[in-house]
Amino acid sequence: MADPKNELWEVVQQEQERLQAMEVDESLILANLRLSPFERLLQHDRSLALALALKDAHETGAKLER
Amino acid sequence: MPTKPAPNSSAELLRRLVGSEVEFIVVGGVAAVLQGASILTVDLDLCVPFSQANLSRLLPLLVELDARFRAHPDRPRLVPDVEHFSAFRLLMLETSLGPVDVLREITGIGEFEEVSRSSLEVDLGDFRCRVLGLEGLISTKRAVGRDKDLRVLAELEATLRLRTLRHLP
Repeated sequence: MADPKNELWEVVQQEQERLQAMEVDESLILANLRLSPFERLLQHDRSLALALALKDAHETGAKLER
Repeated sequence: MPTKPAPNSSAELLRRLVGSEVEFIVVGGVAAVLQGASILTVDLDLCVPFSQANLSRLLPLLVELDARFRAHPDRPRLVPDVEHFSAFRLLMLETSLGPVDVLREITGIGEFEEVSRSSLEVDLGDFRCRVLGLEGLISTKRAVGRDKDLRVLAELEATLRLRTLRHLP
């Protein structure tokens, strides 16, 4: 039988993770505001390419090139 | 096996749209990024008038960019049939410069004319384009109200507050 205390802990942990995921890091926004709109867009596209490469590498087990 | 999506080049895509004299307003995640929000978004969302004049400039560009229907990659590529597409409300496309969603209407705001009233011009160096302002982005995220929109809502509200504190338009 499942331990209700552990189940509750899991729910609390999930909720904490959910709230953490909703946190906004204002320092990142302030750093963006120091850039021009064009620089913000380039930085976004680079970050997205990196995120997709990491996801792809994770899924295929491939190593990333520097 | 599905083909790997092209790497995004939002700046180049916007430059090509401006160069082709397409009327458009950037909405969605890229509009938020251009105004300072720290989010990652995969597709470029554009609100456009689906007039024959505008489609006759937009569709040939999309064909040049090898546009395909994202939900139906097995279908033939997009053709510049202005008459046919003038009745559409949404085109979800994969292009050689990344995914693009072309929208007639924005939830909570309206069609191009209404979206235009809530937009501002952004300087991208050698060209300029219009983007939906943060207040507009916030109102549409509230109107849509999915979990992922609510996560972005907090980021948009913080960006608007920080821009206001810094007296940015």
